Amino acid sequence: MKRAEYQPVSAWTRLRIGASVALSLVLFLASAGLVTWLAERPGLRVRADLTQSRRNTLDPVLADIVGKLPDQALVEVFFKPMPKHLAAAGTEAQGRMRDLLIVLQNSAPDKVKVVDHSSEDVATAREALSRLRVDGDEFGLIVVHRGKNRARLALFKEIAELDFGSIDPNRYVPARVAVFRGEEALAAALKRVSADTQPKLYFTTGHGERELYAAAASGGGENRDLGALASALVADGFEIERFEGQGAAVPGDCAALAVVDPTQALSESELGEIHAYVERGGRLLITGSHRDPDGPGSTRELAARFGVDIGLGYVAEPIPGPNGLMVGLPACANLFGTGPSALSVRHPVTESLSKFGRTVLSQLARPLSRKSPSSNMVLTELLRSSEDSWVDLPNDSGVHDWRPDKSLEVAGKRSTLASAVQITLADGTASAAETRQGRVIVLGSPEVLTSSAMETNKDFALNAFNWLAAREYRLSVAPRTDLRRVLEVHQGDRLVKLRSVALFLLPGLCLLLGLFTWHRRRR
Amino acid sequence: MSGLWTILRRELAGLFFSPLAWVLLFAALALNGAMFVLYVGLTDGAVDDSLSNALGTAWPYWAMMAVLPPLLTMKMISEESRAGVLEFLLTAPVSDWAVVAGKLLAATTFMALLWSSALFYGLALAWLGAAPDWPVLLGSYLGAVLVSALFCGIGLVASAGTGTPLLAAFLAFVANIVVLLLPFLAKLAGAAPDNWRGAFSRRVDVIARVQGSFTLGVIDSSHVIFFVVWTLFALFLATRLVESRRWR
Repeated sequence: MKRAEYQPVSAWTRLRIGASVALSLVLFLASAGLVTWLAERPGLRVRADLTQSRRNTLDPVLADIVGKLPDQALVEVFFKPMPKHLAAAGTEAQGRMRDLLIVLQNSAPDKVKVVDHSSEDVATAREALSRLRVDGDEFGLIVVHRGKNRARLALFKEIAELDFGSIDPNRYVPARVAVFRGEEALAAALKRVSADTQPKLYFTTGHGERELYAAAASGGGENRDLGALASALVADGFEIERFEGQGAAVPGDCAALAVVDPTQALSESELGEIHAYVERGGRLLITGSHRDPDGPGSTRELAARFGVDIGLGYVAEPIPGPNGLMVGLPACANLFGTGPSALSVRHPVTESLSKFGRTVLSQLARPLSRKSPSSNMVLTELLRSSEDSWVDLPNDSGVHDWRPDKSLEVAGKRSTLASAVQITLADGTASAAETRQGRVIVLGSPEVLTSSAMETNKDFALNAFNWLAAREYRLSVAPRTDLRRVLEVHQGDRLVKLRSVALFLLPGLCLLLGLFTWHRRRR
Repeated sequence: MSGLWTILRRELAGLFFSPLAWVLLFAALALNGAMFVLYVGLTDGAVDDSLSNALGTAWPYWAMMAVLPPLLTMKMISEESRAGVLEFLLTAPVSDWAVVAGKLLAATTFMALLWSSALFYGLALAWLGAAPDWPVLLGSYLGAVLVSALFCGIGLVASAGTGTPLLAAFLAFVANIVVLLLPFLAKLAGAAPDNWRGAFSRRVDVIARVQGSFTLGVIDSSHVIFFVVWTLFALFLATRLVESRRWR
C-alpha cells in the first residue's frame, strides 16, 4: 500500500487562504456595523421599561408632542456645580432631569438630540449660550431649540421647585426638591419650538413711541429704548415688526400688538382699528405714559375701552434710608414689587415670578383701576404696590413733591401697576369651540419694558408677551412620584449588617471555596 | 453543540480548579463589596442608586471590567498553544468555533458569577427592609453580563493572537481601555454633536450604552444587539486566528 506523501502548503495557497480570511473578516465587520446601525432605527428598536414606577416611559402628553415634531429639536444642557447648601437638592434635580433627557432621547432619537455641556468646560458652554443668544442662569439651565425657535428652562424655576429648609444650626434642615416638573417644562418647551412659524409681535410707531432698536443712551444716561426687550423677544423665538398704523388694518399674522408710550395722540380711526382687532380675538399691550397728556387718542382712552382706567399721578413708596423710611425724593417713584403680596399667584404672567420671589421694577407708574369692564371681560391685577404707597399728584405748578398728602392724595393703599384683561368673544353660535379670546395687558409705566429695567424685568416682560401670544402652554403632565427606596442607614445596625454581607460574607465564602479547592488539589 | 458544551465544562473546571480564579474572585468581590457599602453611605441609603453604581455607573466597575477579562482569558488559548494542548484540541472532533465559543462562554460565566454578587446585595437589602426594584437590578445584571462577554471576546482575540499569556493580557487590557475611551479619543480628534466623528463616538460609546439603558432599568434592543454582534465579531476573529495555525 502506498503511503500518502506530506505536501507542504505553498506560498500561493497561504496567500489565497489569507485573502479569503481577510475578506470574510471585512464582510463580517461590515455586517456587524450594518446590524448595529439597523438596530438603532426607530422602527426596529424596542425598549422595555422594567421599573415599577415606569420612570423610563414618557408621559403620553410629552410623547405626543415629541411624535409630532416636524424635525429634530436640540436640547442643550448647561448645568453648573451647586453651592454647598444646595448640593444635595441640586444634584437630585440635575440627576432627575438628566435621566429624563436620556429617556427622551432614547425614545425618539430621530426627533430629539441632547447635548450635555460639561460644567468644567466653562468657555465652551459660554460660547454655546452666546451662539443661542440666551442668558445663563445662576444654577444652570436647559435650552430647547429648533431652527430659530428657542425655549429656556432654568433649573430652579421651570424644572424644579426648591424647599430651602433651614440654615439654623440648631434646627438645620437641608434644602430639598419640593416639586420636580421637568417633564412638564420639557413638554411646554418642545411644544413651543415645534411651531413652524415664529409668532410676530408688532410695535406701533409714528406717534413718538419708545424706539425699538436704539442702542444709544438717552435721558440721564439710561437706556429708555426697547432694544433689550426686542433682543430678549427675538431670543425667545418671536419676530419683531413695526406697525405704522395710520388707518391700516392690523396685519393678519400679528400675534400681539404693543403700544408703548406714544407721545402723540392716536387718531380715532387707529383707536377704532386696534379696538376692532382685539374684538376679533387680537392681543394688545398698552402702557401708561408720563410724557403725554391724557387727552383724546391717548393710551388712557384705549385702555378704558377694555375696562382699565389709567389714573392720574404716579404711584410712590417710601424708600429705606439710614434713619428709617424716607419720602420726598424722586426715588420714591421706583417701585420694587416682590413676592405674592405684589405679584399675582393666579395668573400665568406672574405666577412663577411670585413663587420664586422675583422682583419687577416699575418706575413712574400710573395707578390702574377697574373702569366698569363688560361682563365678558375678566380683569386680573398682575402687579401691585406696597401698603405704604400713595398716589403722588403734581402741585399747581406741575411738580411732584414725592410726599403723601393725605388731604389730597390716596395714601396707605395698594395701587395696581399692571393688569391683564381676558375677553371672551363668542361667535354668536353657542359652540364652545368657536369661542375666542382677546387678551390685553395694561402697564402703568412704559419704563417696565425699557432697556435699563430689562435686567430685572426680563422674565416679566417675556411672560407677558408669551401670554399675549398664547404661548404659555399650560400642559397637564403629571409630576412624577419619586419612588426612591432608602435603607435607613442611621437606624440600628443596618449598615453593619450590610457591611458584614458585602465585605466579609461573600469574599470570605469565596476564600473558603478557594482554600477547599487548593486542599483537594494537593491531595 | 455537544462539542461546545464539552469545552465549556472543561474550561469551567479548569478555571475553578486554578487558584488564580479564586484569587481574582476574592479580590473582585472584596473590592466590589467595599465600594457598594461606600455607595450606600454616600447616597444616604439610596438602594437603587447604590446598586446601579455597583453595576455600571461608577468607575470601579469599569476598572474591573477592563482588568478582569484579560486576566481570565490570557491563558485560554495562548498558554494551551505554548504547551501544545491546543493541537490536540484542534484535532479532536469539535470545530474551531466550538473551541473558542466554549472558552468565551466559560469566561463570561465566571464574570456573571462575579457580578451576581449584586443580586446578593439586593437580597441583603431586602432582608434589611429596603428591597430593590428587582426588574431593574436584573436588567443591570444582564447589562454587566453582556459587557463582560464583549471584553472576554476581546481577551480571547488577544490570547489567540499571541503565544505569551502576559502579553495577551496586556494587549487585551490596552484594547479594553481603548474601547472604553473611544468617545474621549474621538472628542480629542474633533468629535462634535454635528459631525461624523460625533456620530461615531455616540455609536461606540460602551459606557453610555450601559448607563443609558441597563442601569436605568430599560432593556433596549439596540444596545443588546450592539453587545451581542460585537461579541460575535470578536468570537469570529478569535476563531479565524486559531484556524490560521493550520495554514500559517
